Parts: sequence; structure tokens; C-alpha cells
Amino acid sequence: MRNWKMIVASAVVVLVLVGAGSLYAQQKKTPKLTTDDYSEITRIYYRYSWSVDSRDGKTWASLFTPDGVFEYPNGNKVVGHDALMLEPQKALGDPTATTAVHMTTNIWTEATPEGAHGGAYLLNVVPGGQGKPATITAVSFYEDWFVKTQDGWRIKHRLAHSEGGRAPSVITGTASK
Amino acid sequence: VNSRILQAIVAFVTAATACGSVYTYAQSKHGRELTANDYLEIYRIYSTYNWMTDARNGSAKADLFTPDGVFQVVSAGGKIGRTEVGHERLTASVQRELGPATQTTPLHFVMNVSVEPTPDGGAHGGSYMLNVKPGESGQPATIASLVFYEDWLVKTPEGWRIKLRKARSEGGLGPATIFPPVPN
Repeated sequence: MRNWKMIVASAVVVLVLVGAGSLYAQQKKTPKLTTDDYSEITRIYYRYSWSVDSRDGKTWASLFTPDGVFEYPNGNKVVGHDALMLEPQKALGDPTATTAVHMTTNIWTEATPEGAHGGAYLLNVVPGGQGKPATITAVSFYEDWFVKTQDGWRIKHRLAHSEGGRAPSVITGTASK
Repeated sequence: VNSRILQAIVAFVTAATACGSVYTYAQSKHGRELTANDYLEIYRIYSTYNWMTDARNGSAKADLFTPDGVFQVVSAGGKIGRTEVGHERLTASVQRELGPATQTTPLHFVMNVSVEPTPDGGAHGGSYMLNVKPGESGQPATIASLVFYEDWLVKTPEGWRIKLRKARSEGGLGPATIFPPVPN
């Protein structure tokens, strides 16, 4: 009789441990991003460039969460929808035929337990005007943290990097300390 | 009692019809949503367009348009220039306008492809395009020009096709011309 009790008690302990382990693994596990997720995040990157270049602050800010953050390489931050909405015009002034435009490429994103983390390369291109060639005035990088909200994917935090060729290793976490 | 039930049914049907109309109106105003597959197919059109242009494959480039598709050059002041209409002219224009490809002929680099659904089931949008001229014997490449494509696309039984492409040269004013800012 005592043996039976021991066996049942051991089984219960094992089951509890297996259950707890499984629950922990589930919580730790990062959900995969679907094709729809990647498509939506890619569109955010492109819409971002168009809206900043047309000084469309409303569309630009709508790509962020209401408490979203845009952080400049020098650490200055623009926080929250109202401030973000004013930023394109405030930082860049009126667009003209020869003001720089943002050209984004090499979009890279990975799932995280909270949403997604990733980035993109950015060329700042100044149109030449009147037959002159255009020039690349800066190569920058965006590092982003995304979350999936009820209204779709949004940028929670965008950090602009200006480390040149070192930026990809800084953003992907392979830079030497 | 029967009259009350009838009134309730009439009220319910009226409310449901009103909701349906509002939904249909909203759908038609903003256009049906594009799926991830739609976006992928449209992105492929933008990339293939560059490859086929740079390879001087006029026929493959023209296949990306509808049979009555239009390519139009719009200059800095918004003035409409060269216009190619239909498969035959679109095919011939590649070789005629660009000549044979050489080691230093400019190449087409497209970025920021952004399209939105339209009420008629199509899509409107565009991309930024850099015309990059490879450098000669060790010289750096240069950006010969910056152009914005504005496109109207339709979904045909054969897949997405360009109905109208405008190649615009307004420089920094291009983005706001194609996607006007939303008023605050």
C-alpha cells in the first residue's frame, strides 16, 4: 500500500515538473513572424520614407505606437504621437526640388518575445537639379523595435545610427565589445 | 404581440441594412485591402522592370504593363513629355531610348516601393529610383539622376500589371506630389 502511495506521489511530482518546464519553455519561446507580418513591417519602412519626405507628419507619427520614440544618433529623443507629428517639418523644413530624400533598403527583421527587432540601411540622397547628378550625403542605419497592436504593427522605438560600416554589427549584436 | 414582433424584425432589418451600407461605403472608399501575396507580386514587378530595362529586354518589360499600358515622362515643372502607349511601343522604346547596354551605361535601382489599394480594386503608389552610372576603370560610380515612379496597377486574370507609369523628376518635391500629406 505504502509503495502505491509513493508511486502516485512520484508521478504527481514528475507531472508537475514536466508541466512547469513546458510552461516555462512556452513563455521563453519567441513566436515566429508570418508572411503577413513581414509584409506589414516592410510597408512601414517604405511608408516612413515617403511620409518624412513629403513632411506628412500625421502619417509618419501613425507608424509609431502612441508612446513611440524616435531617437537621434546624439541621444535626443522625440517621444509620443503629438511630438512625432511635428518632427518632420520641424527637423527638415519645407521640401524643395533639391532637399534630400530618404532611400531605404536591406530591411531585416527578427521576431522577439515582445514583437520584432530589426533595421534598415538608409541613403540620404540630394537630387542634383537642373541636370546635375544627385549625391549621397549620408549613409545611416535604423534600428527598430516593433510591437503588434490592435491596429497592426507599429514602431515602438526607432534609433538612428551613424556608425558607418560598424552599424550592422552593432545592430545585429555581433560588434566586439 | 405579432405587431411588436413585426416592428422588431423591421427595425433589425433596417439597422442591418444601414450597417451593411456603411461597411460597403467604407470598403469602396478605401479600396479592398491588398494581401501579402499582392504586395509580393507588385514588388516583383518593380524589380523585374529594372532587370528587363537594364537588360534591354523590351518585350519582357512591356509584359509588365497591361496591353494598353502607358509609360509617361513628367519633367520638373509637371510638363508631360514622351509617352509610350501599348505593348508594341513599350517594347521598342527600351532599345530606342537607352541604346545597347555597356559597362558604363546607367542602371536602375529602385527603393521605397509603396502602394495603396484603390476603390476600383487596383493599386496606386510608386517608388524612388536611382539611375547609377558605374565608374570607368576604377572610378567611383555616380548617381546620374533621381526619379520617382508613380504607378497605377490593376489585377488582371494574368496577375498584377502596370496600367500607367509616370516617371517624375520633381526632385525633393516628388514624394509629396505622389502621396500628398494628410492634413493635421
